[in-house]
Amino acid sequence: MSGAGPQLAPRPEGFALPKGRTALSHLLHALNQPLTGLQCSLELATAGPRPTDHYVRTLREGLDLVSRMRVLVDAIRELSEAYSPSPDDHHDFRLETLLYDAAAELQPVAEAKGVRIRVVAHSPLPVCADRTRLAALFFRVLDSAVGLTREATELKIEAEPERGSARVALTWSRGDSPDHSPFSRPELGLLVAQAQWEQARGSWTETRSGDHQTCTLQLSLASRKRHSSAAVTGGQQ
Amino acid sequence: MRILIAEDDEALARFVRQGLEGEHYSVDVLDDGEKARSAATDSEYDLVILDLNLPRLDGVSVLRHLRLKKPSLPVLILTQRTRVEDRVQCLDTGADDYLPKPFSFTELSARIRALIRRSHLPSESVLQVGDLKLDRVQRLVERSGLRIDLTAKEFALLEYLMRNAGRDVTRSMIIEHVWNLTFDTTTNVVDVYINYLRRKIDDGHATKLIHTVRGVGYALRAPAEVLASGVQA
Repeated sequence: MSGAGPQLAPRPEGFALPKGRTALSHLLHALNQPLTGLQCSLELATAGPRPTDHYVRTLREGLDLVSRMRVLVDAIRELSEAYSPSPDDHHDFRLETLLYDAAAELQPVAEAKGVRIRVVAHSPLPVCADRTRLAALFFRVLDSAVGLTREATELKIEAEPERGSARVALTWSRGDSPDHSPFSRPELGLLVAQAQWEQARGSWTETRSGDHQTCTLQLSLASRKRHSSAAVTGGQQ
Repeated sequence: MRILIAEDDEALARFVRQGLEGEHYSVDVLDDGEKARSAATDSEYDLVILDLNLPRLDGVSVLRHLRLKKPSLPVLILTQRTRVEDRVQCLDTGADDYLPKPFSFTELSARIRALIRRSHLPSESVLQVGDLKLDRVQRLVERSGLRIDLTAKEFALLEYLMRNAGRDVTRSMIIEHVWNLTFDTTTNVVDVYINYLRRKIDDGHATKLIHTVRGVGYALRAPAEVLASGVQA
């Protein structure tokens, strides 16, 4: 039976997963923990006759372990897919429109948590990228960020041009660490989004100061020439 | 109702078969693509569950063949992939739905019910459930003759629930079809939007149409169906 290695010990508060491909090996190690738990509990349950409530408890615990494994397997699969190039469908559009759309859709969810989403974008950010893919990516980033933001605080999103790039900075105050951190769904959601963003040739940096966390995403702006000759879609404010 | 499962993983096929037989479907299991293609073409099935990675003939080839020979036969694809483009490719090839592994039996069962029902329904421009009407062309919604204003997302959500009226839909099905996302969200976005919709559709009406189905998701049911199913509002 595989044992829990040192990687499986409880993580200190604020532990962050390494990024990039190294994250994959950490996730695979993390998978060992619920898998071992499941194997042991099934072995114990089938080792001899047990009272009915023991089987019921084993099955319930088994389902919990399976749901933890599922979160990890989903993240492993999505990370692997993010690192396998697939064809992009590039279009010119304004990046800030995706932020407004995602923020508007998640506003009711944030409100239910007492979180205010504030988007600050004063200048257009024309980019040439796969709009559908980035729309899903921004939804995921905001969805994860809302999930990690402390109740009754603000999730601030600033979008502006900076030296030929579109720069999007999301800042929030972290709430209590989610269950199974750093392998919780919102944290893994950000990890997968980062891999997808970097595959779209964007850069992603994360900084923490106290309980404040900032993710900064940058992507090259579309060239002025193409921008002026192509119809740029979007423009919601 | 007769279902063909084309799946070469013996244990998985056995569990799915056991679950579906428990729901009173008649189930056949085949473990390679060639046998599945012949059986699905020559026999009468109400639905085919098709794994993409089959020996002897891959699932996509089976699907292409079925689309030529039996265009209206519902096909649900089981796959290891989750990317949007993989889903689009499956649907473009002619699959009716797509479920990535690992999946829960509840999820599979809900999708099968939705698919079997959809295959028997005409595509209507006006959907009606009880006294609730939704005009997909005019984009109007009214209940008991009173107009209800919905946001675009609320409209899409209600349309999806009405297209599957009388059937349970899971949160994953809603996220996938209404939000066009292929991952599980962190937040309870579906529940929040369902609550918004409930306020607009059901508040002030003695008969509630939107129901929570514990352990599954939601269902929109006409009053007679509610009595028959015993779901909770």
